[in-house]
Amino acid sequence: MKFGLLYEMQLPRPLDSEQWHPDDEYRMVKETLEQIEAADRLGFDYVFFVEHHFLEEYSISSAPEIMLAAAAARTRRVRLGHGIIQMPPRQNHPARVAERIATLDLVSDGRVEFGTGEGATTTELAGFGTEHSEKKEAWEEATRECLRMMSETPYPGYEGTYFSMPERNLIPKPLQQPHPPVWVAAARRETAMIAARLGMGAIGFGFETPEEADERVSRYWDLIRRCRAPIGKAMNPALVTVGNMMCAESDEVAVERGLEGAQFFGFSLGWTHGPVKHGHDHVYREFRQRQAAAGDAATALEPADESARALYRAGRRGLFIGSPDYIRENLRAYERSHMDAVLFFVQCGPRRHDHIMESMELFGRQVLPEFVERHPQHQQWRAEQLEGARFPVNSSI
Amino acid sequence: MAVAPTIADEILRQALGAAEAALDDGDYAASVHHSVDAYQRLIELRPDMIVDRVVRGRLGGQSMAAPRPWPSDHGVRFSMEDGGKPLLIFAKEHFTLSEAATYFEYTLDMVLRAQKTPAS
Repeated sequence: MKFGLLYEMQLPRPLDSEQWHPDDEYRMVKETLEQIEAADRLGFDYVFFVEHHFLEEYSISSAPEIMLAAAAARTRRVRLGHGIIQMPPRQNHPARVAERIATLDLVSDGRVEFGTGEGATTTELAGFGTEHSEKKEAWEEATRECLRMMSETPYPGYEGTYFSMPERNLIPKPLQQPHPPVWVAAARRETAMIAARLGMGAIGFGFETPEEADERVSRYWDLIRRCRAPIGKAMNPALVTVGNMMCAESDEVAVERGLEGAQFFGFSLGWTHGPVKHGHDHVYREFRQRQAAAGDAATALEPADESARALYRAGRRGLFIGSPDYIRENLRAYERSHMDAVLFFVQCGPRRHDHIMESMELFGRQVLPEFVERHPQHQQWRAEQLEGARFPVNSSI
Repeated sequence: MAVAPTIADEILRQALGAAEAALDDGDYAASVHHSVDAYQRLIELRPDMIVDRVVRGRLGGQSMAAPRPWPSDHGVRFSMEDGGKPLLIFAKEHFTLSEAATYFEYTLDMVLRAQKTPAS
């Protein structure tokens, strides 16, 4: 099983001010890049960045391609992922995505992971004029054509529902051929199965328990073997889950340093889906007030189905908030389920940079090595699962 | 291995089997119609599961993850007046693979959950 970091770049407003201090965003960018350098040195396999727009305090990662380019210049080994790019053409024209992915792949010596998705909140979708009812179809159309643009010379042009363009040769082409490994954000169970039918990796934002993971892994790999219509020219069979991590010498210290950030993560995610006063809401202050009043703000906006359980598990159970022993045991359960990788939110809410760096160091020294040692066995299991698959594979797992 | 054989009710089994076969054959509109047929059958057999999701969804407000009785965004709308019977209404007749697979996998998951849990 492999490991990576997933960055939302959360930046709560300070409690002593209605707006951020002048250097808060600058500091966040620099600290994030420092953490990525550490991840590369410590042996983490992936660094992914989300793409979100206008989601104040929840995420300032609106230009992930810039962060990934900066990360490429500072690292040598870690793979660099979009987790994800919002593919409906009003958010990102597919030709511009193809150009950016290919260029980043060249800059990074072929280390790009191409994660795709639809975007979710009304704040984001309406900001670009995309209708909720269009986004899935728009995602599929744009992603399929974007992969053709990267891998066909020339791209013959396209007349579609959501975008059209004449014949052009998209340059440059990516270093990884026919294109980098392609993923889709899979907040719900059915999206992971769509990923399999399209030969894509699934970044499971559903924060599955190991028990749920068993069922999903089995069904996913069955569908991968039966895949008849991959979205690209190579499949990326991979199931990844996402969790919140703070590793410290003891469970108590880890909870003290990490729990509030995880809870704020869930609270602010819920907030982004409600009525928002752009430029005026103070989400962190609201979180603190509700926490003081109710004792537990993480569940104040908690919905109850699959994605909602994500917040609960991330905020409350803290599967990866604890000592190395605690985290190791929880990760072993995912490993037994044949999960391919786990991505961690390490930076969230008001967590301190020095605590995040200590956490990564400790995880890298005390948890990661045994999983690296066993990964060849997982690769053998994957090879067995892929027997009978009809299409070529391009996967970094 | 196709999942339909694991479904106990014969009508559900046939509808979901047909939905998956159409999905594999690239006939996405047909697949959606078969998934809708299966869902309508589930409404007859286990209305408690659907109503439960409607109620919990309303309690969940606008949240992204509020429970859904049906993934309405992809061309087939769910409607239920207070005290009325749930209805699925087609807003279009052209579907992509991802839309058809969404309806199939959602319905399949609901059916399998219904098999595992007793009616309330």
